[in-house]
Amino acid sequence: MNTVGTPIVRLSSVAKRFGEHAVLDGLDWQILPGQIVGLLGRNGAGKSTLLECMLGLRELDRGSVTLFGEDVAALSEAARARIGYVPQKTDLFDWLTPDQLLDYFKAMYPRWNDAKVEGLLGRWGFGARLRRTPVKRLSGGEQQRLAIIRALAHDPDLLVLDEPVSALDPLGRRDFLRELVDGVIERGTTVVFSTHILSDLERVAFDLAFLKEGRIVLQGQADALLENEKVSLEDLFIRTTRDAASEVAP
Amino acid sequence: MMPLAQYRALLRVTTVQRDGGRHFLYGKPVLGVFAVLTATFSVGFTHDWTDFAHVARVLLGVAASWLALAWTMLFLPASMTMNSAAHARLLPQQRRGLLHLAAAGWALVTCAMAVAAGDWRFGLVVGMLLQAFALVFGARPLALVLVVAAGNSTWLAPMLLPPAVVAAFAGPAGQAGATLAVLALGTLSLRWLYPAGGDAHLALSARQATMLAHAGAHDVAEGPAPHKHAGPVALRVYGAALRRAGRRRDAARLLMLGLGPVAHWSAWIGGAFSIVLIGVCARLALWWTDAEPVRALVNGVGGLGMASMVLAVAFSTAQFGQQLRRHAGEEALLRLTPLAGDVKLLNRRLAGQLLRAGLLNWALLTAAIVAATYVFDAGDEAVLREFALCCLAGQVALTGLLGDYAEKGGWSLALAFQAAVVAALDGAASVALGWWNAGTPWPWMIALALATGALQVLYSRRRMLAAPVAFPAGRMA
Repeated sequence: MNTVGTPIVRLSSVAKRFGEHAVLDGLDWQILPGQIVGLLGRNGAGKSTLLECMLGLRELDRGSVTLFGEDVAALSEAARARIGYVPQKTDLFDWLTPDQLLDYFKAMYPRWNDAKVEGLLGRWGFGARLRRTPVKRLSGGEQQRLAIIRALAHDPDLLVLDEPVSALDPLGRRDFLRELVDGVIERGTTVVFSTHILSDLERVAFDLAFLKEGRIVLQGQADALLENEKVSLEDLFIRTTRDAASEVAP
Repeated sequence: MMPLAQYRALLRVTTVQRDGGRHFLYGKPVLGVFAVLTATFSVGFTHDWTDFAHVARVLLGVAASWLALAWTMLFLPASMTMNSAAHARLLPQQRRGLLHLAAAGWALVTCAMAVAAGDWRFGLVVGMLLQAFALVFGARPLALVLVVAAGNSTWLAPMLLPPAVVAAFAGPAGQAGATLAVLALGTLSLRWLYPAGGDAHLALSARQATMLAHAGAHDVAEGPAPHKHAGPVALRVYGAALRRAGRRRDAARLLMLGLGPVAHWSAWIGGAFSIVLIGVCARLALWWTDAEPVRALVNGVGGLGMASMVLAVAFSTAQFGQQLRRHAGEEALLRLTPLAGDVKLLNRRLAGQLLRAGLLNWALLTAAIVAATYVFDAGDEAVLREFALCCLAGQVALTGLLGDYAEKGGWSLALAFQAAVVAALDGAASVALGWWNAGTPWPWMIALALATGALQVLYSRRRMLAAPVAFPAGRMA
């Protein structure tokens, strides 16, 4: 896996507050081309905010973000065409059918992998009838699968997944992870993957990053981290992200 | 009965503590408007300043108007949200307290209005209106019929009801009967507004949350904005527009179509058709019979009825802001697409398309209203009046159409209040200019509304272009 070269994502001294609460506090982070990074943190740690700031969807209070070497606030068309994103909350245009939705987004991209879209739709249970059903009548899992297909359809070089499997059943998660490994990671796509399902992360993420108190407090290759600490990923997660205040004295 | 302290606590939570006490109803602009209203009514209706009873009634009327707003916009949404399914089941005393407070507030406003007007019937009409608005909040949209009936009862009743019934209603027995009917309806309304838990409660509270969000009470109802459904014809027109924009890769159109079919001009086809149909039906009725009651009814519908249709023009753009907030995740994706353009280009494209859609809605509805008025054979004066009112309503629709959507754009109660004040000022100035020139106010109203609307658009467009990108709306701060 090629993970050398200039960082594809670079965040420098990024700060973001919501009122009195500092969500990101001078965060520095960089992701190299081809890296598969699992982003971990407790509920409310700011994972979604970090990913939104990374993509330029939220204004920063301080700091800078570059994607593909460009300032995220002024990304070129070419750079935007290289990004795929599955937000935590999939609120698809629910009056459209899956076919209409995909056609809509196809018009917004210069490159669109029709064969991949057709393949995924077929493998993930979107038959002819379902493809003509308005999105609002699809189940939560079907909507999430559609959101993932849409994010993969233009063969992005950077794929940002914010808890993409939260609404999927075990079978749906298995299909998604298989697609992620076979169809995305194998072609050298850089992936940033936030999830609470640690077993999924263990299957795909080669690198782990732990977000705590507004900073990346621990980052490294998953195997090396687990080997050094001699613990399971769950124990490492608890140990790394636990608040000092929540420690219980023996 | 609950202890008085608990009533006080419930009242504080649902009124003065809402928005940290910073609700726009407590703001200086609103209080200033009410002060101006007090002064205007005092000067206009009081000829003898020593007639303290008269002055007191004017003051009571203005105060009751503010109370009516506070009851409808502050207390009701907050108290309905407090009465969640779990609270209703586990805290029955709280539910009873909210019921008592709602009834007391309603009775206070109704009685104060009746005393201020010196006519119990006026109080009853106000009481019915308040109930109807409350029911609309309570996800009973059919109550809109009641709003229209109560609002137009003064001219509709003499036309539709036999003279004997109208005369009976004016007497003490009739008024007592009407009072009992309004009280019965009020009791039923309270049970709908504050359900007592269970599955029905859960189903209703979801609809209530969307209605409250629709009315701008986002702070107490964090549900998604409601989605008005477009009819089959509108959906077909929207689908065709979507395919055309996709084929042409027209980024601006695609961004606007991303707001859904309810933000497309075709969503108003049914409304415009209905308005014209009313005109045609009235014309046919007159052709069939020239009876005096029919003529009176047609005149009433052609005058006040058509004038009330301009409300549709005023609210024709209210959906845009709601739609922008409904699909923040998708808008984030749209913003990341290559075709969407950079921050300034995206905002410029969206501003242009919002303005285009707003003007299309205005043109469609105005054409329907003016055509219907013409079909009524109401005369040139009436056609000019309806066009002028449509222009004024169009000016209202343009308020808040463009703006800083990244922070807070679109329709809100505060903005509606501002639009109403500006429209009232324009209307008053038109009447004054018409009177000054010994003519009708309508040409002045057209000129003032167009000029004010253009200024609003210029200012708000500049503000929108300077703002952070509008996609995703409301999530940038």
